[in-house]
Amino acid sequence: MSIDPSFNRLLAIAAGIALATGSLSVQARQTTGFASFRVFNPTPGTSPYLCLVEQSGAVVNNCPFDVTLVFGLMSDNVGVHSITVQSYWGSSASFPCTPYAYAGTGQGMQGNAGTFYQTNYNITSTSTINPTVNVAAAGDSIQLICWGVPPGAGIYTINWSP
Amino acid sequence: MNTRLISWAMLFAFTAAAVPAYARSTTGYGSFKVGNEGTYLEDPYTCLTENWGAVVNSCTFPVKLVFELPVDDEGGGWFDENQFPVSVQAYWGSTATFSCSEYFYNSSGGWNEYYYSYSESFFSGDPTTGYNTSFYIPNSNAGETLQQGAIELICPAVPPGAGIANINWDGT
Repeated sequence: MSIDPSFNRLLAIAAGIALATGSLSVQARQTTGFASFRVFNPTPGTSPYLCLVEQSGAVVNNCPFDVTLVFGLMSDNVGVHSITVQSYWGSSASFPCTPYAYAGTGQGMQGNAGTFYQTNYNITSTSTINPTVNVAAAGDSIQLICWGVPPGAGIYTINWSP
Repeated sequence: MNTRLISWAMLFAFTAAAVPAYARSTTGYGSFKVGNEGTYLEDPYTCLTENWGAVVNSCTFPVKLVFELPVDDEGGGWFDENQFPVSVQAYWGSTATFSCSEYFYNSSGGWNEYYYSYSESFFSGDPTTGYNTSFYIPNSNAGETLQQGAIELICPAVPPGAGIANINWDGT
């Protein structure tokens, strides 16, 4: 079995162009929890924005009730997006985060969720989950929703492939 | 397995990957901020709601919404483009009409060194498919290549029941 040498050259050139443009490099986009959060549909009569606080970049729920947090993750490409979420280090609470890809027409796709099961907490140890979501079509947008973040818990950083 | 076929597949994959992706996308709910907060009788953040990614004005009054659209500086403090097309999908669950404008703020200029889309496009949501509206900075505004700056989309008075679902723009 052999391959035409000229074809091999073409293949090498194509690979070189791809590498030079950075399209094959591992790219990541990152944000802090506090810089990017929104509150998901606040209960009427409550103002969670008044009791969500910042701590070294983390958004921490200092409210006396659970709060669902939404994070917009800007994306540039279709396909599967890997997400790494770090929880606030000062809580051992458990809660899930689910990514979604929305078409903007009331339709969307739910990704693979992750759930924090934090057993030890201290300032040097955060808990990490790795949810994924598939963007099926150009123009679809990604959101990460962390459902029912308990009092004392929060999100530290989010890192994803754009 | 045909080795030449595999090689062709690799070639296709490489060249496809090398084509730069110009579309950047965000949900309305993931990127909005309230403009002129403090001028409302009620805090709009308590009555703006999320619906499949859309930010929906569930307040009883119009709300000014501002969306930041980050773009990557390709080096040297200059962009390659002199237009920045933005595509906006209105919330599908309303037929209200409102306007939005795109603004480009030149970071190396004075306080009034900015450009904006002349044609404020009005749109009404389609209950089933949503509605796309496109904005861009006109050539006559921008002159030649724009210097380093930042882009915002501003919808100054989104009526109750209306909203923004998705936003797409050239982010690279």
